[in-house]
Amino acid sequence: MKIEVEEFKRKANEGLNNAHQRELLGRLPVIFKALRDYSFSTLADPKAALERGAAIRRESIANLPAYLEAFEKKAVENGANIVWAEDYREAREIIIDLARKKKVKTITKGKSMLTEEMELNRALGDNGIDVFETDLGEFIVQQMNRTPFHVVGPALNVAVEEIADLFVSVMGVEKTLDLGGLTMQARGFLREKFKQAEMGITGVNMAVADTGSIILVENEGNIRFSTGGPKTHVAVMGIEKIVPTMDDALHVLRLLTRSCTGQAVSSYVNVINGPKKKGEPDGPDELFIVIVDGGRTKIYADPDFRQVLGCIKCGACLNVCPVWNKIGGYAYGWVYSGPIGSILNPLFLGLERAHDLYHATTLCGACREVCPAGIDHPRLFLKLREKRASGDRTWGARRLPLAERLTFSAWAWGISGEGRYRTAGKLLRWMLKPFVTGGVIGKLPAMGSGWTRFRDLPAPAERPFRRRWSDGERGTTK
Amino acid sequence: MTTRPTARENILNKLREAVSWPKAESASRPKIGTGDAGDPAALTDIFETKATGAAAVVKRVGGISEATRQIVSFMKEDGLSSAIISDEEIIGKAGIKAALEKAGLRAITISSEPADYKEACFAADAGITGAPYGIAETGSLAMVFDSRNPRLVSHAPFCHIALLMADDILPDTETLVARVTERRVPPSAMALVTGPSMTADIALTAVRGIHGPGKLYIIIIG
Repeated sequence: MKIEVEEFKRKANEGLNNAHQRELLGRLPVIFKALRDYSFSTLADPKAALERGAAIRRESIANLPAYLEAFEKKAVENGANIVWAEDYREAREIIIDLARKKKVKTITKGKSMLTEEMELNRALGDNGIDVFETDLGEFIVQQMNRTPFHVVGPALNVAVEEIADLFVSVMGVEKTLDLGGLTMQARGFLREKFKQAEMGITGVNMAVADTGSIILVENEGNIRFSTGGPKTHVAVMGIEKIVPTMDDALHVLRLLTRSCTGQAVSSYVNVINGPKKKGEPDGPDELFIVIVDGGRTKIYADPDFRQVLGCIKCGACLNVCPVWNKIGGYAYGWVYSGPIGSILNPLFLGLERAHDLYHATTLCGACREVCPAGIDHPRLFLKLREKRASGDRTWGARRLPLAERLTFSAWAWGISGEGRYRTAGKLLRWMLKPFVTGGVIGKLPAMGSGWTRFRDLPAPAERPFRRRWSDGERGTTK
Repeated sequence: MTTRPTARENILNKLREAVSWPKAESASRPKIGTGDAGDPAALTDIFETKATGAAAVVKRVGGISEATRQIVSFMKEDGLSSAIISDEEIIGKAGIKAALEKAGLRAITISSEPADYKEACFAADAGITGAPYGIAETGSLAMVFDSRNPRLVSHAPFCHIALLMADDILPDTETLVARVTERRVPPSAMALVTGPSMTADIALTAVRGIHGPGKLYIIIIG
């Protein structure tokens, strides 16, 4: 996957100019909101349920090292193999090594954002191993070699016609535009892969510390196949996926599916405790759980940003975001998009590279309001801006350019003394005068042109407020 | 496959060394809302409503022989000619194999074809299993997998027909987990199944039966 976070402005414009996408984004928030609202209304106390979700995620993150150890101990007792990887490369090598040792030719895969981060599919492909994404949306994205448009529906923006043509070229089937027909084509094609696959790779939605179980949530049934059919199941999880107890997990589950798709529960919830037991005709002989750091301990070490690790990747913040709903998912240039992408992409890739993302936010707080993990997105956007402005080595933020810093220093100096403020005001009124037409300034040259490109600036008053006040011109309004 | 010796310690140490957060009060446990459905009849009603809402077809029958007749008629109505059958007690008691064969349908038991087990699951039109528990809150079946009720029987065929005893319908998943962990050894895996397999990945339109069963029949006995 090409990292294109630097291209935010260009890609946001592309999104804005894409008529098909605009039409879709016009409908999307309405549908998601209706589904979400209805599903939360079936809870006795939705607000308390969200608060408890946030408390569980906070508790999980606060005591992460202890819970990770507890999880490991239990999972090993249940017969799973736990493998730790410090970075993406190590995680990829562990999985490729294992696949080679087991002489794996075909892998079926469940959707996992972490494996997108670490570009696992490309690495497996380079090693001659066929890997098939089996979530329908992710399958389409993989075959088109694109980034996910939406964390839950990675291909929901792709036109039916395009998908029909893709299926013709990938599967050699007859072209159809019927949605049921397309679905059956994908079913038929991937069923053969499920039969063949010697290894299934999935992500993990939650890892339960007190039972050593992993929980995987899905609607399609591709994860049931990938975890139940092949001889080896590899589950890849970020260190932050832990929850303390099974009861906690079940509560978060209620919030997760409601926030994702507005369902009280997804079609399938897989609770996996270990490999198959003696006498079971299916299920994996071996279960490997790969616990990956991949930049997460660095986020953990910064108390300002640590809370973002509570994210359960539900996508609710995208659906309510006024920015995402205009520019779409591609503008964010990497694995994550929307409000959560504007935090995670810079933290994983560098504050400098991805700075447009956290500046292109309105700070409206709609994301915070729906977040089942209690993440305060606006606060984190401001933190990111602050760290960039003052420069931050840890996060790869250079200080602002000298000209910009000087401008703001001059501004601060100018407005902090009465005489200076008055003089500057006078100067500015005089400078702006030539541009006034009909009571507004419609067009400014040079640096000012950005301001007037889309809006008018009211003309400065003949007599400023301070003058009128001191002249005793008060108490009368017309 | 093993972890590089330092990887685990490095990760845990970095986490341990990080400045700890101030203690937060834990939030109270909110009521979830299956109501006060203490009595089993109400639970069955809630289950039926929720499962039907999730696009499962629910049929309530008085006894086991009626359940068997119902299975045959589901198969005939859908024009299905073969079924793979799990090996639980209730399935045996229901005499499903004999009933299907008598109706001219093909019945494959999981013990009869151990070598071709996987192939048989993929080839069958229907999978017939028991469901150890139902969950009223969401209308879900709790499939607790073991040697007699393995994973693919209920998942690989296009149609899943499940037998559920009304007494086994529990109010919520918490009760289910408590019930399952009463056993000394936890099951290797468990799946909560709510309605048929579904996707809305193309054009945001729901289509059933993308990978798992496109049809789910639940027969509640009692």
